Amino acid sequence: MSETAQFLITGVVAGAAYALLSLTWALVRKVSGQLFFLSGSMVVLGVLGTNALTERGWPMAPAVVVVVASAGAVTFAVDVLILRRIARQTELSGTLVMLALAFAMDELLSLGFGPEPRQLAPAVPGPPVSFLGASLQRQQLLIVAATAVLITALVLAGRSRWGKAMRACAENPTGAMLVGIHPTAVRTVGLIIAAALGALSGVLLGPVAAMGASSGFLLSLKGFIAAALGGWGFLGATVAGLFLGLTESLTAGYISSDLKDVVSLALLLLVLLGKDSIRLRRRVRNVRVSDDRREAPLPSHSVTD
Amino acid sequence: MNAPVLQISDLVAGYGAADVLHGIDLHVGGGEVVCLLGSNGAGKTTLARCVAGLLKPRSGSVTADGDRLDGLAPSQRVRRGIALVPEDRGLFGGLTVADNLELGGFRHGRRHAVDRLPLVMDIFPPLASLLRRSAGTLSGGEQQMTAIGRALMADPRYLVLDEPSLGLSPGMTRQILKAMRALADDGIGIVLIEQNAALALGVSDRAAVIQRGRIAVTGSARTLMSDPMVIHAYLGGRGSV
Ligand SMILES: Nc1ncnc2c1ncn2[C@@H]1O[C@H](COP(=O)(O)OP(=O)(O)OP(=O)(O)O)[C@@H](O)[C@H]1O
Ligand SMILES: [Mg+2]
Repeated sequence: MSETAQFLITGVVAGAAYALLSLTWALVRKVSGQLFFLSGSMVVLGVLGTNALTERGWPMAPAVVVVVASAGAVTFAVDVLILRRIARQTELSGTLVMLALAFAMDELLSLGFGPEPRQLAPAVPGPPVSFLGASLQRQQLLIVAATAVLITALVLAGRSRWGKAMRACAENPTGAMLVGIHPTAVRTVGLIIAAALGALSGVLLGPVAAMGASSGFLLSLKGFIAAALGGWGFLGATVAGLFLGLTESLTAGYISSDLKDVVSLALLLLVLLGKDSIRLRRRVRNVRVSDDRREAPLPSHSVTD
Repeated sequence: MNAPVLQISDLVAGYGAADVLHGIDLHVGGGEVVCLLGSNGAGKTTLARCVAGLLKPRSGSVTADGDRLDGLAPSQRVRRGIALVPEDRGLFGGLTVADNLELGGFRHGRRHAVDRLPLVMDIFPPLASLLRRSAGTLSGGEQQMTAIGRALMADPRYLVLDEPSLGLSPGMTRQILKAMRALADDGIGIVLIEQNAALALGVSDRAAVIQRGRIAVTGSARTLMSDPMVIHAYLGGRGSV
């Protein structure tokens, strides 16, 4: 019993992490139609950046603010210099450029912070608490709580005027321009929020998992799997993230921890073969998901704006 | 304060190497409906895109009440009171009719949408029962009402309609054109791009015929209704409506 509880708790915490990652993918897909392979790099930047600053004696809070802001700034620069220019190209070339950027970013991270994985000090120190016979680190509680808050905020924001404006841009960029929305501004804001969310996830996860420059890609992939499995909506991505975390944790617990990535990669295959797993998407939609919709059309910005 | 007029002067525009518009002059004053006729490929949509800022003209200018609009993005032109209902309607298919309308007033903030919505409902009563529907599931006429309603939510001073009758029944077209006439009587300047000349000329003050990128004929709507070329090309050879 307590063993199962332990696996479930580990799974929920990992699931919260994947949910955060998949939200960055869903958000970027919504505003730009692009695949956000930089998401994992932003998480790693969150860990390594915060670690570097706190090692230099910075207090936690300002370090986090600076690191999250830098993630936003880096993504803004990448958007202006590169992503915006490839937005009109085919999905394949856009994806390849994103992949190349992600590898480049990981090498830059390795150059800047060294190749070794780093772990952050817990934001909430103290002995583990016991819960249903399992022991739970305080940081794990913080991860789950913070994820719930962030997801709620994102879902609510998605229903606001600005959230609708973002969806409008993905639906019909020309129509969006004609009602006075600036699609380029909207996509930039969306990308910056996604990057900041990624870095913040790193800060949250840093104390429970060591991460280094080479961790980014697998993290990105997990985010993609969850987002695609969830049908690219915010709530769908959250549910799928939790599902992925639980699946991995139960596999690692009951079968072998060497298999945990194999299982998620098998899920990736299922997703790709099943065209974003229509069945799970339907089920998610039935519990009323206003921001869950058909595969986002890739916007073709036909106009100089 | 300058006279309320949307002025298009010597506008040259095209795609790639080819020019489509070769020096268009056209104006519409507040309170006026100007009908723009022209055969397929004449350049009507191209002109509308230039006015809305979706296409950058090669030369010439567009001014609204004396302010030059050149170089302004579509979103900035909306703020200056220019609204376009594009040929393809440009709706957000995955969003509800209510969301589409609300976004129409995006530039004016949240409060505005609440104030403005009843006005649009007055003009298109059928929309009231469609508010929760997703715009992609509407019939052609319902979509057109939503598209025009969305443009009106921005409280435009000048409204360009690119073939609002496309795919609509004559009855529906008549209804929409009548609504446009009423809006003009309230002070909005309207450019009505139409193939359905008989109906469109009936609600217009002035009209122009565009042929291969040039204004071929222009005059009062009444004059054009009896112009032999217009009768031959757009009114099916009959002399009156
Ligand atoms: N994106 C484009 N690229 C190249 N040529 C274009 C483009 N859009 C329109 N054209 C050409 O420009 C010319 C004018 O097109 P436009 O759409 O303005 O005509 P229109 O008067 O609106 O016709 P219709 O009544 O069929 O809507 C046509 O010859 C058309 O083929
Ligand atoms: Mg046209």
